[in-house]
Amino acid sequence: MNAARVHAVLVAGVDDPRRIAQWRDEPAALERLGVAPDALDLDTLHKFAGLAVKVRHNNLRAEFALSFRLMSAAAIEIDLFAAYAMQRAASGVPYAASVPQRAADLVDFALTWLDAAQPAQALLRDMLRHEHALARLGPWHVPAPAAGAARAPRIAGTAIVEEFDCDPRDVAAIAYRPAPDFAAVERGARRLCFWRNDGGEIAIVELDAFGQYLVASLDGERSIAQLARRLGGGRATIGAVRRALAAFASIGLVELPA
Amino acid sequence: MRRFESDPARTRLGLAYGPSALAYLDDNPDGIDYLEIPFEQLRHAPALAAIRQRIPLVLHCASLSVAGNVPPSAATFDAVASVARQTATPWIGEHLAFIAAEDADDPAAEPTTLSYTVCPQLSEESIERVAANLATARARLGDVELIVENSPQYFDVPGSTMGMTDFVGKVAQRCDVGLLLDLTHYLITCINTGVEPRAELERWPLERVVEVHVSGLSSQSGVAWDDHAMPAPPLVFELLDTVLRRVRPRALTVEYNWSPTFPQAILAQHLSRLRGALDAA
Ligand SMILES: [Fe+2]
Repeated sequence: MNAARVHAVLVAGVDDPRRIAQWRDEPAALERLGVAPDALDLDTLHKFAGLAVKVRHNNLRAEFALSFRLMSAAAIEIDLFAAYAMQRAASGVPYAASVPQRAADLVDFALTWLDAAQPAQALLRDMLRHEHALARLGPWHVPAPAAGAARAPRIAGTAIVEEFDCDPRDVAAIAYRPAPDFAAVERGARRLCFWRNDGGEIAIVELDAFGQYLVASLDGERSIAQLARRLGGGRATIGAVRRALAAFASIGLVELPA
Repeated sequence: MRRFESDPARTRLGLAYGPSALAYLDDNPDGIDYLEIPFEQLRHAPALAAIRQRIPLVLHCASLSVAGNVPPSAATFDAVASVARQTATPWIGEHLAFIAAEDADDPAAEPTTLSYTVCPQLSEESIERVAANLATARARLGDVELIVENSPQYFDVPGSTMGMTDFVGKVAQRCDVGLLLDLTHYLITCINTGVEPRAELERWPLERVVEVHVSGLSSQSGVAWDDHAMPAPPLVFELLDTVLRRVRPRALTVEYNWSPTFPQAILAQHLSRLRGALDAA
């Protein structure tokens, strides 16, 4: 087999893994390109395409250090990035030039691809969202234009609320031990509010289900009565909303109208 | 400006350029002898070369596609030559691989260039191609020496007629070229092609080795993969000891450069272990 043809086929497959799928379905198409189908391990070529895409995402590692650590510990980096290479090729959209957008695209894909029923992958889903929230509020934060006086309850600064199946901070605490026992991380619903105040300080506030829904409902437009109606209505709800907002205001998370 | 000084009696110890290497250097200004820096990074950010004020540089390159059929552009050759002068590199370490190829459907169309080098067909035809490409590169790059680095092999490349050790040996002889022995690539190739690494090393043309690389690997999906975010496994250190019993390379580079959070404690521990191995050799 002519080396130039063989190299052309390898590059075509790595550049666009849909070609590899096509050759798998129709070996004659590979034969027509000058490569004997039996001579090429298409599965490993596809994984190699995944390695190349993984390396192209090394510039996310500063912000996603623990996610990459978990990916490596679960030995799923190559499979994840091979699947991602296929999805990106199918979408026809090139990898984003900006690091924050490249991260957002990868996180979106990983959350659909990872299997939440598998413990290691469930942890990774949580860690990706945890690190993504911290990156968006930290180094990648884009300041919002200055707002006028509050007309309705609103977040003081920027908040991202995520619901997890563990506390990602527990994972962080053990991630760099020699043989971390990720299976030992306590499981159960945790609702965290990642909050950056107007002074640029970042805090993580743990919420209950009511607080999670309330914070997520604050848009600076809805009045306390409207918020209460969204949360089920009734006199008792208005009281609970007032008390919760007052508690959030006392730590500075929420700004109430004068 | 600092310059890498070759010493036939002593192997210099260096780190591949990256945030963790810079952090190490900040804490240990005399801990390493040089930084190995990719041409591609310097091409896009020439100001990085200013680090030569602190430490000598060795140039690494992935753009010359020496085992491929699509030559780099004249602009790329010129840029490599210019960066080689600017860094005063003692040699250019290039992958014995290719990064571009003709269009699979239409050889007359624009070639396709990847972001990552690929192991070539291991054949006499490829050896002749490397010889022709190296002759061109030597003419374009002037005085600076080119050395070639063994690729990690993940799958059999169709049309191959020999294994990696024979391929590298024949290239070295046919092209009279120095070698960059990447021990992790070597081990990955052995694992993936079912070769016993200790015995195979006896067949390697070690007398040609100018520089050695060590880095990590990871086993995923039934294949061993290059992984510069992982520490080198014990077998890589053992293979290095074997190499050092037979020859004295001019440089040994630790490639822990994929992750800015590579643990500094492991980096320092491995460097001190390698320094010890070099001192004992
Ligand atoms: Fe290397």
